[in-house]
Amino acid sequence: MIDYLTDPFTSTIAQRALVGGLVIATITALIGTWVIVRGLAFLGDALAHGVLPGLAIGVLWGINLTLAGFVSALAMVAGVNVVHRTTRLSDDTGIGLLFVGMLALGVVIISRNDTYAGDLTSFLFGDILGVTRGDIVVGLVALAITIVGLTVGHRSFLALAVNHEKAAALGLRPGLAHAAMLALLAMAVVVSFQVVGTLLVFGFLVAPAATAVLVVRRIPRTMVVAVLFAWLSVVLGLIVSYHADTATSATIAGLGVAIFFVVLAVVEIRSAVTHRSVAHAAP
Amino acid sequence: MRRILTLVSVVALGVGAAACGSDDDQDAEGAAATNTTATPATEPAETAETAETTTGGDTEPDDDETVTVEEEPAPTTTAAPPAERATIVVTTNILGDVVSAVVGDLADVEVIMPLGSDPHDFAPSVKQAASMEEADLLVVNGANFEEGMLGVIDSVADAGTPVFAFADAMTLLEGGAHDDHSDHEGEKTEGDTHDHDHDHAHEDEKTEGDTHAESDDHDGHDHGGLDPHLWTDPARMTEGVTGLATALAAVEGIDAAAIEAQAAAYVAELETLDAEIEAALAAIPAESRVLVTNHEVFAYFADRYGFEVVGAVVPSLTTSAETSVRELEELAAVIEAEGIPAIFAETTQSTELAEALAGEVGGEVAIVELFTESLGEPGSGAETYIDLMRTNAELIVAALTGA
Repeated sequence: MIDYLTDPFTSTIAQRALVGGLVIATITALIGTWVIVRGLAFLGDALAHGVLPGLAIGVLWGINLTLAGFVSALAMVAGVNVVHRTTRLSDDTGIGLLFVGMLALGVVIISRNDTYAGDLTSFLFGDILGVTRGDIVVGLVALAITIVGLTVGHRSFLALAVNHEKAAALGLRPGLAHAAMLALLAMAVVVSFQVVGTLLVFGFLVAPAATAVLVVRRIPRTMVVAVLFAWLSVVLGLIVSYHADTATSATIAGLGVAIFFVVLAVVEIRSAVTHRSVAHAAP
Repeated sequence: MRRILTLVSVVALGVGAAACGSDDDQDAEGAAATNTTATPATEPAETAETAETTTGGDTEPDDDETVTVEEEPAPTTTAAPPAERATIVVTTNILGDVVSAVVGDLADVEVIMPLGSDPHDFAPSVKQAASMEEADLLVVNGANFEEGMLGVIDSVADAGTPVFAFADAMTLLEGGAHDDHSDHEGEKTEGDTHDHDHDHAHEDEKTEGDTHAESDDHDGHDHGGLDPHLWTDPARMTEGVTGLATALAAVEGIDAAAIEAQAAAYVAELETLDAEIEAALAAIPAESRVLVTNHEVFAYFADRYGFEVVGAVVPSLTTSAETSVRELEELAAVIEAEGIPAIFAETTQSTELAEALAGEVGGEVAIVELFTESLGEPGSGAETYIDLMRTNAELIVAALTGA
């Protein structure tokens, strides 16, 4: 039984995948909590695809992919803001436009690079088994920035989540706070894509935090629980994909969502039971 | 969307393979049975048996099989008791067969990609990645062929496992011939019946040193231009086999002299195969030596046997690329203008686009599936590399001569 759990982690590749996965999962679970709390899920999903044109150009021109992806994500956020400010359209329309536009642009650019499209697959689905020591270092730096950013900005983010006007009145500069949060989100997406791919990174952003929200209320506690759920899906995902021979990143992302529904079921059953006992007790 | 479907099917395939793991055993036996007739040489008869395809999640039946397989030849060959058998892991199943044939019973050979998988986007599981890392030698195609496992191959090399890439030992062609799509049209409308002593547009051959090592940095993909489909020319494969033998000889626990001898025997087989294919293809008149393939998979074959690849349904070296309407229409026009009788699809890919293309062409166009990037199922006539090449040649002859 112990072997069953430890066997998957005997190779260097799997160990690196584990460490890389845990680092990425921590970053995404932390920022993901704010994504959930502020209802930015759609923007987060869109951002994950917004990096694609940058990555494609980065490959074509040989630019650092992390940097190219980050710039691309910022361009996308700027685009959403333009639509938001200059039209009466709602935010999700702008996000939707940019989402599809950026995704299409990325695929178009990659399709012009006709000799070698392999990167598209790894962009979309990631390559957690190809995590290098360099990726882990980059991830750790991003994790440090995330923790510092979230700690420093905590009050502003909280005010932003509660009430935009109030935040402004309190002198917490909601515009700046919002921009900072999006920058952190973009960074999380960019450092994660190599590990989980742009299609699945959204699962990492949303699933652990959403699961945590089911069981705890306060934001710092939600973050801790989200990180724990994220770790659980990484470890379980690696074990399952080892024994069942399934695609690793997808298994991890899928397990994150599965855990959400399991927890949801448990919570619902428990509350149903308490309700019934309350109902029984009442008369 | 196609990618998602591919992923889903890969997952489904994995589950399916796990569910029917015992079938693998029959596969191996079937392959071995046909192999005996195919290889008149001494050793390689039992090679297909040792080529255990790691598909299933359940290891137990597979393990049993390998154990019995290993023990069977032992008494007959009366070799020195092998202390620690080396394990050679190979990425694609076509090269897996080549490696098995060269290795014989001198080591265990494990193949990563199951039959019928698309090697361009096959992604290994953790377990497969681990076995790649633990191998005494990892054999890959190289030249970015295994797109879905480039990262893993890098990591394996990083971990210190020796990696041999066929691409590094062979003279490769520059890819991207489809850029002359429009040139072809111009050529054809001028009504010149293409003479086949045409200077192959691929004079820009790269030499061995130019091919980038597999351990290259992931970020700098400026080396996308080399065509990785090197196995489609058996004559050229002899270079790869010779290089492979050197790499195998360096593996601890493998008898270097024996490997050299077996490699030489296999090279001889490849030379026979080459001559055989050439003879079979002689039935195709020069003006019919045109290929329309599914993706750009046959450049080496065309280069060797004097064919012209006039176009590909997906004009790219990789199956993960997309085509455009204009390109499809141009290709349809070329097919119609030249009266090309067949579009060569591949067993590892959907024939949907090829069918759409055939529909676009006015006349009758057959769609013939070739064994391009994966060995065939038992009974398909493509259970080994040599059978695969022979079967493809026969299919091409039949399609282009209307036999």
